[in-house]
Amino acid sequence: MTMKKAPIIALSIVLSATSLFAQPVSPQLFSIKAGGTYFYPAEESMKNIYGNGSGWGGEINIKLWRFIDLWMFGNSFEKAGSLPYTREPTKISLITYGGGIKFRFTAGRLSFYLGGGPAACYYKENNAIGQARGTDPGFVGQLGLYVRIIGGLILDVAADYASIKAKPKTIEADLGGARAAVRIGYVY
Amino acid sequence: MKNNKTRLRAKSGAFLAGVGAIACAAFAYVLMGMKWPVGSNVGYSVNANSAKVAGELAAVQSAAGSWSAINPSGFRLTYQGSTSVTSESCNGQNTICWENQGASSTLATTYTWYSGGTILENDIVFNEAQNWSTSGGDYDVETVALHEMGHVVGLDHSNSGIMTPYYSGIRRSVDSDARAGFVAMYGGSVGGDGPARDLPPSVKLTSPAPGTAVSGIVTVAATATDDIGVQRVEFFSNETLMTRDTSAPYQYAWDTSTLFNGSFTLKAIAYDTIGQTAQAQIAVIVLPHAPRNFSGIKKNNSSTLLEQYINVLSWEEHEKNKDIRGYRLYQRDGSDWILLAEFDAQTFVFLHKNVDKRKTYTYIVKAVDAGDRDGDGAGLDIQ
Repeated sequence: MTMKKAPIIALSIVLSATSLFAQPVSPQLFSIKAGGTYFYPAEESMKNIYGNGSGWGGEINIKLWRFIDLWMFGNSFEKAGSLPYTREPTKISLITYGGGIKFRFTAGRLSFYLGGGPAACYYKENNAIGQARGTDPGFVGQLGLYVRIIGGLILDVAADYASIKAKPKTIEADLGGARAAVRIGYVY
Repeated sequence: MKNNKTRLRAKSGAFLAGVGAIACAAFAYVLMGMKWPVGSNVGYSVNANSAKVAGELAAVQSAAGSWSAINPSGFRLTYQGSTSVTSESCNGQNTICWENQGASSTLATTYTWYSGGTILENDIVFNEAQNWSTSGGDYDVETVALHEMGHVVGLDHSNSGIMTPYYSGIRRSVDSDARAGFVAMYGGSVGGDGPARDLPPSVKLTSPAPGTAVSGIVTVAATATDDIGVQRVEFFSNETLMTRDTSAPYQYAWDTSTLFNGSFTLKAIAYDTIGQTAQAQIAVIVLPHAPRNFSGIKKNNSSTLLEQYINVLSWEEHEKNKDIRGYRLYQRDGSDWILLAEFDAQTFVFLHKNVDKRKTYTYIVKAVDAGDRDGDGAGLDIQ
């Protein structure tokens, strides 16, 4: 089996599995999802001081027209670390939120989606140096898929990437990064 | 080598009434026919342990000074310290000692060893059995020493002045007759019957000032004066001889960097040409030495959103520092030094936080002694 064939086979398995629960697909007007996330910071210093970490998040999608949804989301990330030389404790909290347009394609029980739009991040960092807090804008892009489990209940997996530049004092940092999410939701 | 004995006998009433007339008419000195080479600086040692009365050493030195003062460049006697020798002996050392020679009329004897016309050694033995004095009564030590030293220079007994063979009272200067004999052998001015006393030298430490706190290389200087001449000045640090200086300006570079910090006594002893001394001393304080291995580096201690640069400074104690109370760290601010932090004696690291990452910082760290005095500083720049 070549490496090129592997994704095709994997997709076939997923499609075969979902077909076991094949039901008539009702048009989606609204969906809500919530679950855990895993965040990979883009900023080098944030990687060094805090590293990767888990968080929480959720989103709402509202059908605008045919396969186009209005999308709104929010994620939180909070982690402690230590300053690079003195090893004094430091803590950062990020609440990233935003929205945009999402394109959704449904095939049986599976729906694939791809979207993007503006985002913002409320941030707060506390340590011996002082405190930095504020909100700065950026953008976010997301792709994912969900499968209807039973009725309107869905299992959703997604990945997004955000870029949000913040400069509360003298340092500018990108508070975005890549985020993986596994969520449970409901579609109406 | 022959041994020639000359004796000064106790006063027996044989005082020569016509001495003055003889001295005016013609010099009546008598030469022994042997002398020291012209220009000799003859060292002598004194056995003070056998001394009879207080002040005998000073009296002997004074007598030596009287002869040396006539023409120091032609001949002089220089005190070289004490000896344990108790009687005459041809041992290469010119000795003055006291020995019990019984209740004879002999007061003192000078023993001369010579070769041809050159004297090789003299020993003077005082008769311990006599009643000696340095303050007027009995037999005056200085008078007898002056007579015996006349033999040392090469004069024999004469019928006038100090070289008469009989004691006739205190006489502590070289008379013109004996002086003429000396000048005939060693040169100089005959002059009159003057005092010809060589006064002790004087010395004063002029640097550093008393009580001064010093460090590094310190110039220790003294002024020394003498009516005849200063032979040398010795400098001591806590009774340890540091150097001898034989010419003015009398000074030396005292290296305190190899010493423990603390109090030191500096002393200068001046010697004149006949070994008379004077001393001066002061106390100074050697400051703590600069701490060892003072080093520093700028470190980035920034978090994701908050910037902080730190100058990390460290140093080590100096192995020659003692009783250190702590350390003080100074930072240059323009032309001033501001005290940045103070530490106990066990702290050797400091983090200077929130420094400007583009600025150069200059520091000095100093050890502080028990008297709260800053020592020498170790400095560095951090860019």
